[in-house]
Amino acid sequence: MIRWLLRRLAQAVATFLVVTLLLFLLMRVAPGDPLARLVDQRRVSPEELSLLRARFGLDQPIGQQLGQFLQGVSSGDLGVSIAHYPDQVSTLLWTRLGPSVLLGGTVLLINFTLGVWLGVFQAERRGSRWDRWLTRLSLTGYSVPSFWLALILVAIFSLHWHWLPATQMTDPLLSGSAPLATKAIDLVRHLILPVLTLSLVSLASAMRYQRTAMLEVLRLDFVRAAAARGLTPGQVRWRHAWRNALFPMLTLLGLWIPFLVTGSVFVEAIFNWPGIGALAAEAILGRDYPLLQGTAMLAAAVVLLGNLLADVGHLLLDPRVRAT
Amino acid sequence: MGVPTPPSSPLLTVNDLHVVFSTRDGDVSPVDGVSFEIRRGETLAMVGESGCGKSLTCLALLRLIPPPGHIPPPSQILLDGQDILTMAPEALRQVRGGRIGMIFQDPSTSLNPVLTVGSQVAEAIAAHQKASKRELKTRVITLFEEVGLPDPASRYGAYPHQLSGGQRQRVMIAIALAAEPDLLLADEPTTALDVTVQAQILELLDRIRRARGMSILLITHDLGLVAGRADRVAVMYAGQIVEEAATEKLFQSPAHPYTRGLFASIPKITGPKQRLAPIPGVVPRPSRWPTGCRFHPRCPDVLSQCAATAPPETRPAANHRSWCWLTEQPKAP
Amino acid sequence: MTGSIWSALQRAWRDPGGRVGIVVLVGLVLAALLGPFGLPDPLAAPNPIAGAQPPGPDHLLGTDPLSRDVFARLVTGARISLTVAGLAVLLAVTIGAAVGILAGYLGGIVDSVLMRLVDGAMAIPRLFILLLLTLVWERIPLAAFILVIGLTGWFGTSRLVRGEVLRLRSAEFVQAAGALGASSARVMLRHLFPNATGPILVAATLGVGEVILLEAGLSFLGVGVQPPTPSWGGMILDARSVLMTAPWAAVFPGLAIVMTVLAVNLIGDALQSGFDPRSA
Ligand SMILES: Nc1ncnc2c1ncn2[C@@H]1O[C@H](COP(=O)(O)OP(=O)(O)OP(=O)(O)O)[C@@H](O)[C@H]1O
Ligand SMILES: [Mg+2]
Repeated sequence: MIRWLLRRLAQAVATFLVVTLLLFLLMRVAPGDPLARLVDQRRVSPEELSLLRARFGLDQPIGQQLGQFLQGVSSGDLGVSIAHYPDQVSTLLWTRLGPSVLLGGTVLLINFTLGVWLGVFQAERRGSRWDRWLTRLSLTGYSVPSFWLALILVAIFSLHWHWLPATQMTDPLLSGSAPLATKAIDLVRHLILPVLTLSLVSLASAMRYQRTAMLEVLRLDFVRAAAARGLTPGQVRWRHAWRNALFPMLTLLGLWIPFLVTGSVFVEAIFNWPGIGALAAEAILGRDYPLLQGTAMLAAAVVLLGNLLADVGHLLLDPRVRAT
Repeated sequence: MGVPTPPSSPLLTVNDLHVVFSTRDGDVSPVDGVSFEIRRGETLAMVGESGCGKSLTCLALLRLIPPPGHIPPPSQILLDGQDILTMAPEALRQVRGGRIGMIFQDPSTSLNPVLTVGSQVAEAIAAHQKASKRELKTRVITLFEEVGLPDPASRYGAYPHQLSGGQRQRVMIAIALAAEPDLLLADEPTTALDVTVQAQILELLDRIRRARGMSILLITHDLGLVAGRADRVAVMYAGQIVEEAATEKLFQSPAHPYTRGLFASIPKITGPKQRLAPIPGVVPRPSRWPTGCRFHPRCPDVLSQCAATAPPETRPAANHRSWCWLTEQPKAP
Repeated sequence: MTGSIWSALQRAWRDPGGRVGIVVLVGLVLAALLGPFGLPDPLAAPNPIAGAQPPGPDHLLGTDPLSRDVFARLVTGARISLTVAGLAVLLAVTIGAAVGILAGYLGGIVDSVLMRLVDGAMAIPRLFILLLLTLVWERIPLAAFILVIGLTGWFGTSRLVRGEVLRLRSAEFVQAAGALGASSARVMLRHLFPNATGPILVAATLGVGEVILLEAGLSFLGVGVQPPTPSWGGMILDARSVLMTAPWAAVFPGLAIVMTVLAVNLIGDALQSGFDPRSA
C-alpha cells in the first residue's frame, strides 16, 4: 500500500517534469520571441529589451535555458512578471491564491452537495419526468458560456436591480474597523454572483457523473440485498448504494481541485475577483508570458496533486484497493 | 395483529401472483398467476429451468421487483393473513428481514464490498431490534458461530473479498437469520458454490430450520437437491406452477411431462453412467409464451387440445396438484 | 467507417433529444451556408454615430454599438464558429487516432514516450495551453487559431483510441489477420479503425461543443477570432460596454452559443447512450 502510494507519487513527479518540459518547449516553438512583442506594444527601449532578454535568459543556448528553467521551477522560482515587473511570478500567484480558493471552494462545496444529491435523486427516478427534466436542465447549464452568463447576471442583479455588487471581493468603502458580521455579509454578497455563475455551468457535470455512477450501483445485487434485510430507504441509498457510487465522484473531485486554485479565468475577470484567474486574464492583456506560464505551471501541479489526492481517497475508502 | 392464527393455517399464502413488466412493446408477465402456500416449519422447494420466473416470484414476496416491474391485482401475498402487497412502507420494512429473511444466488455480489461483513450483519439486527453496539457485536459473533463460520470473532471486521464463496454465503445466512425470521427465502443458495460446499450449506439451512422451527422456500433448478430436504415441491414452468406435491409423491409418480423431463435430466451419481436426457429446447421468453399449455411445444406427450386450451387444475392424488391434460384423463391400469 | 457513422446517426435520431439536436444543428449549418444572401452586410461600414438600434423591422435582432446588424453577424458568426469547431475537431480526432493507433499497436518505448507526453499535456488545463499559444501572435490568423485548437484537443482521443486498440489487438480476428500475413498497417486500418469508431464519434461530438465554448471564450478575451470577422464571443465582447442600453447585442450571441452547444451535446448524449445502453 505504501509502495503503491510511492509509485503514484513518483509518477506524478515524472509527469510534472514532462509538464515543465512541454511548457518550456511551448515558449520556444511558438513563432517569435515572447519579449519582442513588448517593443511594439509598450514603452520598452531596445536597451531595456536586451536587459530583459538577459534577465529571462533568452540570450543563452537553448540547453542552458532549459537547465535554468528546470532549476528555477524546482526551487519555486517561476521567473519575473513582465506586466508587474519586477515582481516575482510566484509572489504574485501567492498573493492571489486566497480569493481563488474561497471562490472555487464555495463552488465545489455546492457541486458536491447539491450536485451529488440531485444526481442520486435522478438515478433513483431513472426515466421519470423528474429525471428527464433535470437531465435537460443540466445539459443546458453545461452548454452555457460562463462569461456570458456572468454578464447577464451582472446586468440583472447589479446594474438593473442594484441588489448585489458586480465586482471585487469586498466593498472598498467598508472601513477596516467595521464589525466582523458586517464584513462577512459584505463578503457573502460579493460571492453570490460569481458562485452562482460557476455553479450553474458546472453543477451539471457533478449531477451527470453522480447519476451515472449511481445507476451503475443501483443495479447491483447488494443494494437489493440491503433492502431485503429491512434497512430504511435512506440506509440503502446512502450507506450501501452511494458509498459505492462515490469512487467516480472522487475522480471528478480530483479533476476539479485545480479549479480551487486557478479559479475561472473568465468569471474572475468579469467580476474583478482578485484571484489567480483574474491574474491570468490580466496577463493576457499585458502579454505577460512568464506570468501566464507560471499560472499554467501552478495549474498543472494542482491537477497532478488533485489526481494524487483522489487516489489516496480511493485507497482510504475502498478496502479492495487497500488490499492490493 | 389481532386474531391469533390457528396453528394449522399456513404461514404464507400466495394467491394468483402476477409480476408485470411494462415495456415499449407492451406488457409482459414473467410470473403469471402463481398460487401456493408455505406452512410453518416446512420446506417448500420450487424448481424449474432457468428463466421460468422463480427468482421474480421470490423477490415479489418482499416487493423487491425492480422498476418498471410491478405486481398488479388481484395478486395477494398473505403473511399470517396480512397482505404484504398493501402494507405501509414501515410495516413492509419490518417484514423484510424481520419476519422473512432472504439469501441470494451469488454471495459474492450480494455483500457490500466496502463494508465489513460484521457491520452488515449488525445493521440487519439493528433494523429490527434495539441493541447497543456491544450487544450487536456479541450477537453477530454468536450468529457467525451458528452458521459455522470459522474463527467468528476475528471475522467481524473482515471485508467480503477476504472470505471464500462458502464463507460469504454463511455470512448471508447470518444476515437473513439476524432478526429471527419465520420464513427464509433461499433463491438458488448454492448455485454459485463448489459442489462440496453446496452440500454443507444445504445441510446448514436444514439444521437451522429444525432448530428454529422456521419455514424455508428453497428455489432451485436442480430436482436432485430437493430429495430429503423439502417437504413439498412446486414445479414452475413459464411463469406458472405446473405441478405441486409432497416430495416423495412427486419423486414416485410425477404427473406432469415437464416434471418427468426434469427428473430425466438429473445427473445420477450412483449406478451405471447414463446419458442425460435434457428436455429439448429452452424456456421461451415471457413475450413469446405459447397459447394453451405453455409446455406443449416441448412436450413429448402433447395432445390435440394442448395448443388451444390451458389445462385445468387436476388432482392425481390427495395433496397432489397438476395442470396437464394427461392427468385429466383416467389413467390406464 | 462511414457505415458506422451513418448507423450512429440513425441511433441518435431515434432519441428525442438527439433528434432535436440534429434538427437544430442542420438548421444552423443551412443558415450559415445560405444566410449571407439577402441579409445586410455583417461587415458594413461601422456607423458609431447611429449607435445600437433595438430590434425592429429593419434589423430583426437590432444592431450592435457600431450599428451593424446583429442577425447578419450572428449568421456569419455561425459560419465561423462551426468552421472553427468542425475543422479543429477533425484535426484533433485525426491526430488523436493516429497517435493512439501508433502507441497501441507499436507498444514498447514508442507507447511509453507518447503516453507520458500525453499525461503531461493533459495535466495542463487546455485553456492555458491555448492562451500561451495564442498570445505570441499580435492578431492571430484564423487558420493558425484553428490549428492551435486542433493541436491541443487530441490528447484524450489518443488515450481512448489506444485503449480500444489494446483491447482489439488481443481480439482473435486481428491476430488471425496477422497470421495470414497482412501487413501491420493494413491490419490497423482495416480492422482497428472501424471498431474504434463508436467512442471516437462520441468524443468528437462532445469535443465540438467544447471547442465552440472555447472559441467563444478566447474571442471574448480578444485572443481568438479577430475583428472585424464576426464571432459570437467577439460580439459579446463588443456588446459588453452597452450591456444596459443595448442588451440585445449581448443576449442574442449568447443564446446562439447555448443553442448550438446544447444541440451538439444532445447529439453526443444520444450517441453515447446508443453505444452504451447502461449509461442512458
Ligand atoms: N428486470 C426485468 N425486466 C424484464 N424482464 C425480466 C426482468 N427480470 C427478469 N425478467 C424476465 O423474467 C423471466 C423470469 O426471470 P427469473 O429471474 O425469475 O427466472 P429464474 O427462474 O429465476 O431463472 P434462473 O434460474 O436463471 O435464475 C425471464 O425470462 C427474464 O427475462
Ligand atoms: Mg433466478
